[in-house]
Amino acid sequence: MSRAALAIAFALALLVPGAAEACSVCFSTTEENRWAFIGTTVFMSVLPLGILFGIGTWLRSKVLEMERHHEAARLPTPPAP
Amino acid sequence: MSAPITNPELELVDEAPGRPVVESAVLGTVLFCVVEAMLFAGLVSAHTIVRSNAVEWPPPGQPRLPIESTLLNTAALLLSAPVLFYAGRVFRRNRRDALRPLALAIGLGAFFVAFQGYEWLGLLREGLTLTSSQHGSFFYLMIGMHAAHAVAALVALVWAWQRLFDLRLTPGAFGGAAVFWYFVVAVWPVLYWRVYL
Repeated sequence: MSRAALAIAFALALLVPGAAEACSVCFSTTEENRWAFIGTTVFMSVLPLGILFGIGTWLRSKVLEMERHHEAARLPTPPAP
Repeated sequence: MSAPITNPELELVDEAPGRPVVESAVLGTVLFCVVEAMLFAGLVSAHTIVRSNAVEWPPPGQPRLPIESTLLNTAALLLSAPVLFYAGRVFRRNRRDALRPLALAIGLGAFFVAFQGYEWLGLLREGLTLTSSQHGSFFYLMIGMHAAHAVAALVALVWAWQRLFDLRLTPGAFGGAAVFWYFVVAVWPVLYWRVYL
């Protein structure tokens, strides 16, 4: 089989992903089950990223807070009236 | 090159050992909680998929979970979080005064764990066991895993209380124990929603 034919076969296979369900449990018997798969996939993908983003934001706020504290301490004390 | 120091008090600050942005005990506990959060996320996901595939849930012949009484228990657990937060605020002002609110938070947490154990005994008597059904397996695995975390966090809080009583508790140690307990409190509503409702 030529390379072009292989490429066309591969491209056609991409159009019918349902025929390539390799995972024995990745099929849905009910609509609820299908949505459970989709929902949990999104949940498990987004959760670690969300946690990392949350920790990063928290640490950044802590660093900024400490920098503000240091900056305030560096300011010259105003002369007494 | 840094600007010249004009405030003489700052010299003491700069010469002092570098204060970490976050206490090591707190950061370590946060990272541990991240790992545990993914553990619970995996369990919740597996439970969701199995439950969605079931014709009837709970399976026929299996007892219903005590939703109402657990709701009361949930309230006790949720209340422990603001009480612990208040204890933390008091701890920063006057350490000794934090003993009472910290003890109250521990009491609420201990009530939650004890009540859970009492409910488990009832469910076992009604026939819900680890091997009776997928419902039982998931229930004892997920709720049991949470109970194990709750007990561990309670031990940490009791340890913190003892150290506070001896006036040897550091802010980092208090923060670490508190973060662990907040994690236990934060996970519970998700488990209640997915497992009980």
